[in-house]
Amino acid sequence: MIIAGLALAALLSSSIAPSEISYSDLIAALQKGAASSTASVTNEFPQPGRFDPTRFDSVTAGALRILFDSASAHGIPTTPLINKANFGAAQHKPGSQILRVVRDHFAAMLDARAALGDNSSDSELDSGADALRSGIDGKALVAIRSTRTTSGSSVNALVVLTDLVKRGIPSGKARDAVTALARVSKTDETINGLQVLVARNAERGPGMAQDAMDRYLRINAPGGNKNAPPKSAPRPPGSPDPQ
Amino acid sequence: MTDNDDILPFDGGNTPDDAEMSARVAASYASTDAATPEMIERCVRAVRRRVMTPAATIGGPAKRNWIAAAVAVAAIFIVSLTMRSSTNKSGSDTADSIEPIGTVTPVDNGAAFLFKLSFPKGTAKVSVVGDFNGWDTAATPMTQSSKEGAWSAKITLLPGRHVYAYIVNGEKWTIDPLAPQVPDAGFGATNAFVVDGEPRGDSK
Repeated sequence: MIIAGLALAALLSSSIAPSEISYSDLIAALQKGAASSTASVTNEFPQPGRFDPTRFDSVTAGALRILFDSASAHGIPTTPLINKANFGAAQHKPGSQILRVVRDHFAAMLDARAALGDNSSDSELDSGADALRSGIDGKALVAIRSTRTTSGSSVNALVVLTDLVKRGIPSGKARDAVTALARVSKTDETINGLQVLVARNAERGPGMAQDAMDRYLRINAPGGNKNAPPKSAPRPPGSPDPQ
Repeated sequence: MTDNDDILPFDGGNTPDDAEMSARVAASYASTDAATPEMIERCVRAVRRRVMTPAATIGGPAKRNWIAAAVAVAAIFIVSLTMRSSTNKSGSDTADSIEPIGTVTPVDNGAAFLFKLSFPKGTAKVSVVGDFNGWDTAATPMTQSSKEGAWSAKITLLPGRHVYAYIVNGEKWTIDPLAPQVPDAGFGATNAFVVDGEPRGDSK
């Protein structure tokens, strides 16, 4: 009934004048509400990333507002910064820690934009900043971005790259792997497949994750990863087996 | 005192005459009264008691050792059972010890996304928090969709990257260990999910 009421309220609050609403419209709205009540409730949030100063003490709120204004002045989107601040507020972190995290992310977003370019999306800058903070260098961001120059977004590739490094894959190998897969396929499915594979094998150790990644690349990006070791390295006769 | 006074009987060498010794012992026994039936019975009982006492038998101490060992084994078994039970209460039966395995899949023709994950029995409440709900811990409670412990929430997401986490029983923040993770900036680990279609700066 609540959902039916909401549907009715949505109909009434639309641009149509109340006198123009017919009886059949009312019935249709109620039926729509009744039908949707059988499914799970969809949570909609019309204004994500909204800055609510009441979630912070006055000093922190004032300092955050200055940071956000500074970000806007530099052309950096404020939504990712507000999200960071809200995350800290949700965990009841002290204001000084929230300010430090937001400021560091702001600086990282500036560096990410220098690497990814001025026309990067908000999420690309946000993901790029996280990648830089996890130890990935700007050249890796440039390499990833170069695979998505005309169409598509490099956000997913950046997210997976950061995840691989977090799970113990050396940043250089992770960059080569994601770049190779991104070149082979314009969709992100193969990149996501690598992420899942590495995540599962990383539970058994970084070495297992790296071996799994190499196997995945041999299948999904043959010849794409120029830095990957060959299946069997040739060795001169008589030399000891490195194994 | 003669020289032989220092020599003990049966000391070898200078032993007294065996025949004489035997005669003297026989005479001594002959001079004593005959044993009464009561005395014989008492002797028999004494001998039996000595032979049948567990401490004096070969199996006596060993039996006691076996009993002690059995008691010790039983005690260890009971203690281990108790510890195992308490571990289950604070461990595998709660959300704290078993990592959730979650999925985020598009539903309603991509209009919304279903966040779904499983927790073991004992999980009373789960909510999902993230960029999309302003990190409001009460905004998006999940519903238990099966008795096996699957929890789900359907959320409308805008294109772009979304960072999120789960809160179990109102207090424990956790993530899906297999989903893409975002480096911890100081507030704890989070997952990331990407919705395609975000416009770039030059097309905004």
